[in-house]
Amino acid sequence: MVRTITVEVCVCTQCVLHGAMNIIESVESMRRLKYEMRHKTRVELSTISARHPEAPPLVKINGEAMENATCQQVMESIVSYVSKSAK
Amino acid sequence: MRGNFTPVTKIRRQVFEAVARQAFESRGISDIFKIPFNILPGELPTYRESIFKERAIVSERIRLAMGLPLRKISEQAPMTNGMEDPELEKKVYSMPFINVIPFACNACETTHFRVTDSCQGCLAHPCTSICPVNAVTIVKGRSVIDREKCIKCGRCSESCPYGAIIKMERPCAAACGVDAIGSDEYGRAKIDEDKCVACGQCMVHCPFAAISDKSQIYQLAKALMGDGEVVAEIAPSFVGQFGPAATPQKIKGALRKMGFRAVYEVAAGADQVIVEEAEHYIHKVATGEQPFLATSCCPSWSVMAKREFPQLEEYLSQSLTPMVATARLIKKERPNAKVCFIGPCAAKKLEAMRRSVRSDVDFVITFEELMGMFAAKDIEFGEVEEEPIDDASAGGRGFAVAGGVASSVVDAIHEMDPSVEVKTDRAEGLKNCKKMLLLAKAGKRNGYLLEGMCCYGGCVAGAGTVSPIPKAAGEVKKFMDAASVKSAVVKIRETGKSMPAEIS
Repeated sequence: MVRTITVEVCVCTQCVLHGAMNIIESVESMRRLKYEMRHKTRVELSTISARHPEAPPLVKINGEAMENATCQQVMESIVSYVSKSAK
Repeated sequence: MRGNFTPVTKIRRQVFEAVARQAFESRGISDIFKIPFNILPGELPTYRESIFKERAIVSERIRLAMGLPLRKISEQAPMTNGMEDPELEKKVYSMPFINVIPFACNACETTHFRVTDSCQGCLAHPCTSICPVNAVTIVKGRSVIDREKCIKCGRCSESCPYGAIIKMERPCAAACGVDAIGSDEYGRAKIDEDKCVACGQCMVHCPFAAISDKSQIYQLAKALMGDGEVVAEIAPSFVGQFGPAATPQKIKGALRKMGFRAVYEVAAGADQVIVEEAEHYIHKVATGEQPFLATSCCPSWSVMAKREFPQLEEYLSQSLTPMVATARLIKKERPNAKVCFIGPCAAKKLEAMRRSVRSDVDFVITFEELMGMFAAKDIEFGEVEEEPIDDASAGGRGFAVAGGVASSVVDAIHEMDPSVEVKTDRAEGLKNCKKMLLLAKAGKRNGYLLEGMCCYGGCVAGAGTVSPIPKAAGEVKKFMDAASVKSAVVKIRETGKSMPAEIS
């Protein structure tokens, strides 16, 4: 069975200003990681636009909110979910 | 580093937003002092060895973002020096345009080859035998390069089986296509204004956030709040720059919400350039009257070509740039309007300072600066009304990507005269542009249409962009496909807009 990890990146003005576009790019680039992403897991990337006064960029991974998100934190978190789902 | 969101990007954008907020909310001068503390709160440094130094650097960036000069380190002056001047709201760009903040500069060493810890002191040590000046020797079981002897040919680096010898370059100097980066007496980067073409690549490649250009965010925000009419002309690379929620129609709506009375596509001016350059090629190059035609819409390429190849200047297109052509159309329709060019490019700021252009374009800001203004104005694209946008052909919109200019001009030539055969060559990056011009100078590009782009990838890769380059290029393609008219020739015929006089 293929498991799905949902990644929602907020693309409100503050989030885009603080690097949301680069986070999207980073998540998309993970498709090239053949080993880490090899398990039966699919990353479903989507965008949301929510007004939130502080801590941009906002990313939700499987519904869990990550504030002040960075590319490296998001990618690490996805790899961690992939590893867990493979066990 | 280019294309990644780093702390350098973050600081730059925080400054843009703060300066825009300062202007839009008409905050007092005392609030300026708070900005460095808002951006860098607390008692401990975030990025450098001292929070005082971090805040001092942000203070200089604030000054530049307001169009003011850097302060001299050796002279006492408050960061608000010059900000009380009522004329600040009307200040136009002044030289030096691209600035190195001296105490932020890491004083990186100039280009050299360095032996790293990966050196195994191997038996073969090909690094020594391949060196043409005997600069590499083995000392205590490791390679050592004599910097006095080294001619920086890089052979040792190429031959090392462990990749242990690396080329170290100053990122700003490596990014500069015109060798405009030198050193001051303390080894810090210093820009030679006579060589600089203001492409801004040094700025976005400096990992120490030490280089910044001046901005007109403050002046534009004040103009938008005033009674006068301010009109935006937005460069073809604008699509996809402000996030997935910001469709071209929403971007137009957001600009109107910010206070612009009208918004024009600069691609409309590009349509005119296409037709004029196509006509020029047919009448001058195809007939053999002149050897080649080089496009001129990229200001950095065009300035470099004129400075370094003055004998070829007459073969550089004399058409107005799309920015100026569109501005003149706007001023013809709206004589009292102030025109703001919004684009990806730092060099357009320099172009707007030219005597012949100054009266056409009143403000120039980049997409990144505009993003800061949207944030300061609390404009959310999801809440903005869409406004129709259909000023230009697919050809004009294609100017945003490398190869787009030449391709559109070739299409127009074939439409106007199918019997004309066109050869094209193009280059991205000023170093490659120079090589192309050297070939042209040697007569090896006769009969060609030459396209030069300063930035790798074209305008979507400009120093003032927000979106990652491949994504932005994809969005441009979609916007080209969405154009109701594909051909610039047909578009110009339909709109009946005539080309203003050639640039003086």
